[in-house]
Amino acid sequence: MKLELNNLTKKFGDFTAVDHMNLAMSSGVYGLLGVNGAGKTTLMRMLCTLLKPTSGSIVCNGKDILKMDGEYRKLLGYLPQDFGFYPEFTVQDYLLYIAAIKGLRPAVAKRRVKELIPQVGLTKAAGKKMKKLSGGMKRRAGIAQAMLNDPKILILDEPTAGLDPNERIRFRNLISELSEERLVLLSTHIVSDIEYIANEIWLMKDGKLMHNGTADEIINSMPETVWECLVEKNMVSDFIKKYKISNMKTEPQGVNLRIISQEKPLPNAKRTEASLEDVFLYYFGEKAGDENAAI
Amino acid sequence: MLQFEIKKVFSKFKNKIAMFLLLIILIATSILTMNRVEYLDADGNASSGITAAKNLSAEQNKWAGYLTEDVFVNVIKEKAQINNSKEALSDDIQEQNKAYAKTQGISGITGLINNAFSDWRDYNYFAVNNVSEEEVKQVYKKRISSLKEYLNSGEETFTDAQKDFLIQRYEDLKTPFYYEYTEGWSALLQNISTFILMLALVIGFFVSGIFSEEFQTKADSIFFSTKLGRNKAIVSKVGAGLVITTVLYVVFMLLYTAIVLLALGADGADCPIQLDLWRSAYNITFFQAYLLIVAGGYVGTLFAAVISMIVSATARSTATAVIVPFMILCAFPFLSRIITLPGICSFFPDQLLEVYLSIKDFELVELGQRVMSVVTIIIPVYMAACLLLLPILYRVYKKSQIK
Repeated sequence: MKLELNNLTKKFGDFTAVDHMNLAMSSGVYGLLGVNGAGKTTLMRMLCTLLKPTSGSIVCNGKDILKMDGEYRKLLGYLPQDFGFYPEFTVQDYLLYIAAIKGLRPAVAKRRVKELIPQVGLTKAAGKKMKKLSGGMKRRAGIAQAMLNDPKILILDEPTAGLDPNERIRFRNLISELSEERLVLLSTHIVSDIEYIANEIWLMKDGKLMHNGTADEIINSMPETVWECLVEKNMVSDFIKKYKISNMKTEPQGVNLRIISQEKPLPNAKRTEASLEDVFLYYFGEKAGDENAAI
Repeated sequence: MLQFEIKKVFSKFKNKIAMFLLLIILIATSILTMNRVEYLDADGNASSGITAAKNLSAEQNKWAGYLTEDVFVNVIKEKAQINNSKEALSDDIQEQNKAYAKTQGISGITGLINNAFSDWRDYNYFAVNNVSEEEVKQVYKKRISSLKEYLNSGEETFTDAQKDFLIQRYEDLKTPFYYEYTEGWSALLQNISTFILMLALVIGFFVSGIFSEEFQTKADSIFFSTKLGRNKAIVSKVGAGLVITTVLYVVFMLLYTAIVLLALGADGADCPIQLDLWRSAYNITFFQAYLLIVAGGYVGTLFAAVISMIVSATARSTATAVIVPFMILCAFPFLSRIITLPGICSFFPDQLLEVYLSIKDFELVELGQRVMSVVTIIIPVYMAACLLLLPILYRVYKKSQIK
C-alpha cells in the first residue's frame, strides 16, 4: 500500500489551505501535527475524497484516488474531527448501517460488528442510542465504524479531542492496537498522542509540510537548545517576552522555566533534553499557545 | 441500506409527531366526509354519518336501475305527488321536512332533471316541478343540446376543435345511466383533494430531511468516504424517498377510502360520474374518477417530494426543503388567483391535486390537431418530470464536497 501526494493544493477562494504538498506514505502510523488552521483537516478530507484538490493529485498504488472512486474508498476508514452520527440509532444499528454503505455483505457486517463492539469496549452500550453515549463512547463507536471494513488506510482526525485523560490514553492504546499492517494517518494538536504512537511525524504549518521524520529526528532537527532555570516571579514576564517558554512551574523558591534558546538564558540555567512539545513550540510558537508563545 | 434509510426517517421524534398528525388528519377528514351524507327520517328528523348513509342507501336503492324515459316520468309523478301532500303544503318546517324525507330516494334522479333543465351556469332546484312528462324524456338529449347552446353563446373561448371535442364526448356518453346509491363515492371524491393536499405536505415533511440531515448531523464525512457513499448509498436515499412517498400515500389513501366507503357504502362505483357531475366531459364511472384523482394526487405528491429532496440535497437544509411542498402545492394556487394566465395556471403542479375540479370543468389543451383534457396531459408530464429529476438529484448529491 503506497499513498502519494503530488503537488497537492487546495484553495478556498484566496486562502490556500494546502499548498503544493509532496509526500509518500506506506504502512505505519503517521502523525500529522500542526496548530488549528494548519490545513490538517483539509488534507485529510482530500485523502478521504470529501474534497477535490484545486491542483495536484493523490495517488494510491499508482492510481488517482478520484478515478478509483469506490475502489479506493473500499480501502478507507475515516474518523472525522466532528464525528457525526444518527442520534436515534443504537450503536449496533449505526455500525450495521455504516457496514452496509461500506459495501459489506449483511452476514459479514453482523460478524464484524459483533467483533468490534467488544474490541472498542462498547458491549454494554450496544443497544443504547448513539445520542445517549458519553463523549468517549461516541469516539469508540467512531473508531469502530472506521474499522468495520478492516481498512488498509485509516485516517483519524483529532481522535482524542475532548476526551478526559483516562479515555485519551485508552483510545491511544486502542489506535496503536489497530494500527498493525495498515497505513494510519493521525492528526492532532495534542503532541503527546503523536509522540507515543506515530512512527513518523509530519509538522504542518500554513498548508505546507515543515518537517517530517521520527520523533527523535524531528527533535534533533531543532536548531535551538532547551534550558531549565529557576527565576523570581517578578522576572517571568521579561523572560516570556524574550524567549520561547515551553513550560512554567511555580515553586516556593520561584518559577521553574523551560526555555528554548540558542544562548544560555541565565548563568544557572541547566541544559536539558528537548521533547516533541518543545519542538512544537519552536515551530508553531506564535500560534500554538497564547500571545506570549508559552504553552 | 434502504431499510436503514427508512429507519433514519421514522426514528426521528419530529417525524413520529408528523405520523401522529397524519393519523389525526385521517380521522378528522374521515369524520368530516362521513358527515357529508345526511338523511331525514319519516318524522323529518335529520341525521348524518353512518346511520344516515345506511338509511339513504336503502331509500335510493329502491330506485336502482337504468334511468330510462319511463323512470324519469315516474320520478316526476312521484315528485308531484309528494309536492301535493299535506306535509309539503304545510307551513310547518317539520312537516315540510317529512315531505322532503320522501324525496330522498329519488333525489339523485331529480338532481339530474334539475341539472338538465337549468341554465348552463345555474342549478334550478325547482326545475323538476315544472317539467312535463314529454320533456323529461329528453333528459339525455337536453344535456347535449344545452352544451351546444352554451358553446354557441359566445360566452366561452373554446376553439372549434375544442367545441367538437366536447360535443363528441357528450355524444359518446352511454345512456341510459345506471342509477343507485352513490353518496359514499360522492362524499369521498368531494373531500379527497383536501386530504391529498394534507398528505402531500406531511409526506414532503418526511422526505425533506433524507439528504440534508447527513450534513446537519455531520454524518456526511463518514457517509461520503465509504465505498458506496457516492453511488449505491445515494440510490438507497432516493429509493427511501420514493418508498416513503409511495407507501404513505397508498396506505393513507387506502385507509381513507376504506373508512369512508365502509361507513358510507361503496355502492355506485360503476355509475357514471355525471350522476354527480352532470356537465363533466369525462365519460367515466365514480370508481374510474377516483382512480384518476388518486393517480393525479400521487404524481403531485411525488413531484413535491422529489423537488423537496433536490432542495434538501443542494441547500443542505431541512428547513428550506420542508417549505418546498408548501410552495408547490399552496403558493401556486394562490398565484393562479392573482395572475390572469388561466392557460398556464392549469398546468401548475397544484392542479394534480385538484383533478376532481378538472373532471367537473372543461379544462382542455390543444396539441397540434389533437384536443385533450388537461388532466390527461399533466399527469404523465409531471410523472416524466419526476423520473427526469431523479438522476439530477443523484448527481447533485454525488458531487457534494465536505468543507
